[in-house]
Amino acid sequence: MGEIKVFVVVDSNIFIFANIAEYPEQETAKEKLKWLINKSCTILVNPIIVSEVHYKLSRLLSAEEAYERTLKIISSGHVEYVPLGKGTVLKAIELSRSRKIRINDALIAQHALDLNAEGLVTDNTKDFVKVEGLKVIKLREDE
Amino acid sequence: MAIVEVDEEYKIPLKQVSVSFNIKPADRFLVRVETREKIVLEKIKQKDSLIEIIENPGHTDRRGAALDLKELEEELWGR
Repeated sequence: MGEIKVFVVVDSNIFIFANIAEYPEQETAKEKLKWLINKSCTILVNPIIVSEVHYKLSRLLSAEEAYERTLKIISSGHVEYVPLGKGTVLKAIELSRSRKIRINDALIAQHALDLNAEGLVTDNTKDFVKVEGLKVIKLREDE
Repeated sequence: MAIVEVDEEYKIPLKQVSVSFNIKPADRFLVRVETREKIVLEKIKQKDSLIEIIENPGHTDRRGAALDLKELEEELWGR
């Protein structure tokens, strides 16, 4: 019998924390990613997440290091890049309006729903909990 | 069993067997010649690139509020 694949969307803040030693959350974010990998989860990212990761890393590290780290995230065997379709974008625009969340977060949330992902791993729970049907997996379980 | 053909640049396309053999771009192989007609590609085990970077995090010279990810997100997407 084939292995059941579990997909989770991971928000940019988790990747940033895990990639910068100076964040107090570095160890927690690293362990969260390793936990997902050990559970054979496929980590899904989309153009919004990749843009955020690259921009934030570029502001925190050198341009070269940001470039290399972003590429290494996308190249990982545990990460799958999924482009955004028009249907998801249209629903995200509506979600952004109805739930009063920013379009980037709406695109991530709607994409997770459309991909039937197990959930969205994030440190930004405030906005994502507004999205009906979306399972928010917190970085810190004690929140 | 798939048959692949060497092109004019001596490249062997492995895309058609990539799923069966879990081959991804940037994977590295040790090329072992068994006989003149038999060559074995042995996958070199590498640490996954995501695990590699999170086990070796980068260092930033930014401190305090400059590390605030919400602020960086505001910069990117606007208020």
